[in-house]
Amino acid sequence: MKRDALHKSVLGAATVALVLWGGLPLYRHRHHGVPIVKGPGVTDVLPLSAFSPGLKGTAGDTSVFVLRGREPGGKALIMGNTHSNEPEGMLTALIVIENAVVEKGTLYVIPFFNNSGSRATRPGDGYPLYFDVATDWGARRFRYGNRDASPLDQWPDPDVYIHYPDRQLLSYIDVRNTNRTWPGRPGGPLMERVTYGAMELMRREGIDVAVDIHGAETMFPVTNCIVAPEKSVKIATLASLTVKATEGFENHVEPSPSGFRGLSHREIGDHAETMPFLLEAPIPFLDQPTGPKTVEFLLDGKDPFLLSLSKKKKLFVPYDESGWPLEKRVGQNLSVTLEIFRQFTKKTAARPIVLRGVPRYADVVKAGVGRFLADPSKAAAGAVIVN
Amino acid sequence: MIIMIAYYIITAFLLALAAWNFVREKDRRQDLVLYLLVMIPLILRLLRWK
Repeated sequence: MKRDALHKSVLGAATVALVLWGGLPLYRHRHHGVPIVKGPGVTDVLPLSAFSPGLKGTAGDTSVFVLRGREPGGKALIMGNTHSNEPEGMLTALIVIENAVVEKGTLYVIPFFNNSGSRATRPGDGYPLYFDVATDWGARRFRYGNRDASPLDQWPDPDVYIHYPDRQLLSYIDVRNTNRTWPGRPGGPLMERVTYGAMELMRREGIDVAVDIHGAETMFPVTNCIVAPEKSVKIATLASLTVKATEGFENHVEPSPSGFRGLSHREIGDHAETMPFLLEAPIPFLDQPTGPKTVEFLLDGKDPFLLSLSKKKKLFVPYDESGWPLEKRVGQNLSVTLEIFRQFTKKTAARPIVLRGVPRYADVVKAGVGRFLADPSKAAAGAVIVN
Repeated sequence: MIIMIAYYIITAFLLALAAWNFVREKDRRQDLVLYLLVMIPLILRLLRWK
């Protein structure tokens, strides 16, 4: 009897040790704070729960940075990390927050739209927990998250996700995917409350343009593009043609399918006056037939298997030995976003959105992403928001 | 909310089953390890450790 108890105690202790050994890195990742420096244009920081009270005190709440212009004008919203394993959106948003000065209009920026997802990971795919971006003053560390919100924050999943309000049947996992839960509802699952908060922000503040920034696999046809519904397609086309002619990179336009519900580029336009745009930059790290999912691969986008597939014309983007590095992905997001604002301003002169201080594609490709990230340790007191 | 509470009750029930089997098992070490591994996510869910 005594021997049996001792035996079981040893096994129990070994199990506890195993849980601590495996769980502590995940715990630290979930609670790792990312400092964001309020740049010269930031005038206010609000919680998203100000627009969706059901988010208050939950992991779904997130910071909304407001950059009010010196002159009135149109209003725009930029969202990054809708999918937290596509970090070029978050980095694009951060560069805007830390560098932009708005001359005309108002800009709202949400760098960690799926805050819960940014605190989760995908161990089965061997995802790294963090990645560092090199800067002039050292490395800046970010959490590398997952596509969907953490089941620690929203549980249990249904067998089938019934989209609100269209009742379209979606995959069960999409109940935690903030690009399937639009337009959301105030008392729905947590991720519906997140998208509802953004919808309320757009409706109450009268947002004209919303840009939701993503990354997509090189083997996925909807990549390296701007996805736009009917109401945004003219501006998207003009932006696409302009960046190709003036900055030399491709970014074609994809129509937003009207029968596929829950996506930002569809629901925002259908449930608010806002014109939505979804940007997809190619991120080879997300492709499946690749080598190990290392931080280096995440940053430089170089992979021998994708190179081989490219030679067999199996990819939807040009791909060579130079890969598809982070600076190219972030740079094209910045240029396309600025070009969308410029085209909107040309079309709607009474509601201009004019920014300065934001680098464009060539600047980021030449100097790197880190060149445009601020040093939190040198920021003034109260100028750093930790997310 | 009702579904979530039901899932917590199911979790507690499965944990009680696994714990009972762990206590009752006398010989098979492999089964003991299996019960412990099965109990990990159930305990973490009930304790709501994040």
